Amino acid sequence: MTDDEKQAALESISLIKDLMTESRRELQYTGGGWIAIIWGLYCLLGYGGQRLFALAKLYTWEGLWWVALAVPSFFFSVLVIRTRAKTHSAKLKRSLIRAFLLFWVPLLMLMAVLIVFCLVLNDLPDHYLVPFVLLVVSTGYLMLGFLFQRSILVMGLIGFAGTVAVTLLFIEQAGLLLSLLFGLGLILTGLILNRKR
Amino acid sequence: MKEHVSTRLDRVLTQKARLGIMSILMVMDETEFNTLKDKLNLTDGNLSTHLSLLEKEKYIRLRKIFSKKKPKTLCQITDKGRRAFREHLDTLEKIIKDISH
Repeated sequence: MTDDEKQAALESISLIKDLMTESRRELQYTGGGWIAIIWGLYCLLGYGGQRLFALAKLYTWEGLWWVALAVPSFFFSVLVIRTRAKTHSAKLKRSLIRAFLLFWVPLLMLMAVLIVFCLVLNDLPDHYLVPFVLLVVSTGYLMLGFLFQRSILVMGLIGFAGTVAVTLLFIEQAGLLLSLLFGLGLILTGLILNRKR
Repeated sequence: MKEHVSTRLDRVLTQKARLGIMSILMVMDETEFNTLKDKLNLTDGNLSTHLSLLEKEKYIRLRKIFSKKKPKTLCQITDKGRRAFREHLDTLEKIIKDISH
């Protein structure tokens, strides 16, 4: 075998590796920027609505508002994926939506169950509701991150550490601070992802 | 006589641009003409020639659609194309393994 053939084989493998890695990364972030922005707004609007319901003394709606708000957020996220993946094959579009659903549905169901539990547990002070839900959700991200992807793991670590720090140091303002942390963090991530593309 | 491993390389895929097209389609399954053009830094004419050759070999399928009243060409990899790509990759790996031995 000549040196030229060997060199050509090495270059071909390197080209394949580069292009496949780049394409995979691009697929992974299909609509990711807008989805992060949608869920960032979800955090901010969720907390804003919760406070308004508390002021109006509609306490049951405080928790239910988060669940109700998840429905349009979820709908818009799927819409973003469908629009962004318009030029991909139907097979690929289905697999992108399936991956999104697998990622979000268990977490949203967990959030909904926790919120309902918190409402049932009258002994749990109001300001522990957001930290409690976010701690469990962050743990979910950590578990998913260990299994699948480093970026999810980083999200879980930041979420977990941020929630613990805010709960220990600023429990009275935990709801506001954590909604801002998660909301603005997600919006910022979304803007960065959109700029990269 | 033992067959030289490099003779098993797919001649269609030894060309870098065509190998690039197939690498992208292996991941994306189907993508637009313009996406391939941008990713591979090819001219319209050049890319068309490579795509026609791949289509002739039945490694890809081409179809035209209209999006916002503009025509778009979509390229999709076929099962035959996937098989050919995998075999080509296996052969390349064998060549590289020969280097280390």
